[in-house]
Amino acid sequence: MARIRGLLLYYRSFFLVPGILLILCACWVYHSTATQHLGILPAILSLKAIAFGMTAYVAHQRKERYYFFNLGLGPYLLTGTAFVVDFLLLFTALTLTSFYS
Amino acid sequence: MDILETDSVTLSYGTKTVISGGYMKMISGRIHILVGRNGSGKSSLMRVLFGAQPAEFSFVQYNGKKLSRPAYKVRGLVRYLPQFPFVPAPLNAGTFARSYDVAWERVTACFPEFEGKEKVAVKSLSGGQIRMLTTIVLICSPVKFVMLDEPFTHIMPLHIDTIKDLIREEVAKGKGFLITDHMYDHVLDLADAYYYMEWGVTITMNREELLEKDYFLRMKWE
Repeated sequence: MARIRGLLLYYRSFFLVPGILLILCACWVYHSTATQHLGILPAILSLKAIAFGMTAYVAHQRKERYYFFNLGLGPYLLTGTAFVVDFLLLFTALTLTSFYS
Repeated sequence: MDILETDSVTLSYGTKTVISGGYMKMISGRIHILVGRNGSGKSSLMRVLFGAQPAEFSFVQYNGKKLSRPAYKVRGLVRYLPQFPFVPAPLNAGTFARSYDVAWERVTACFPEFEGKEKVAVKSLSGGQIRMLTTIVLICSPVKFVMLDEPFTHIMPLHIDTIKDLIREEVAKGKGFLITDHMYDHVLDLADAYYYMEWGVTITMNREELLEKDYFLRMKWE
């Protein structure tokens, strides 16, 4: 249980704020261009991937990583879980946006 | 008796070789100290043994069996206190202690000043209190070995004795400790086994050899 809480804390500490900001921007762009058939989704996903990569790099340099190591959580598990949660939130937000566009 | 051991550690940062032939053997129920000058590679060796620092070559074994994954991933084996604050900002003191399986009552029993601070965010504590909290929690956490990197730094002299008593108490229960600190009088007071690091090499010594080796140590004890 402590390990699951640790994974969620890692996401909350480093990825949640940049993730939400990018999701809001992505949904706004997606909504604005929905009727014009511009095919904006690949651009959104590319931007998201770059932003995630940079956030993951910065998170890995932080001293807080030792808290997670002491819980037995390695960098691959931490980043992988954050990746899944982050993209799950993005696709959910985009799907919801598509209903109202 | 449990033994956690690393051998033949080679570690470089760029072109500078920090550790060459590093060795460390931790035995449960004993306190090992690792001393040496600044930049001699003490913290790096600890991180290699813990598994957080990839090395060009390292060989870590637990009870004679080579570990195929970093030591920190083996459940209940080892915890490491770095020399800087490492608790994520959103955590409160009680949650931090419980995440390492330490009851808050145990923390307050060791250090009554934390009474009523269970729900306080760790980031709102003072630097000394954060250091005290993290040190107590890691010492008390239910693992076989604990590595403490400068545990007495930023801590009031009065509270250093509390930590030393706590370490002795946990050693009596069979936990093994590896401690490095520049406050030599405190670590020498605790130690059962002595390691000295110089030019990236670990040398096993007895107390007399260690005092003979290092001028500053000798000054402290003469």
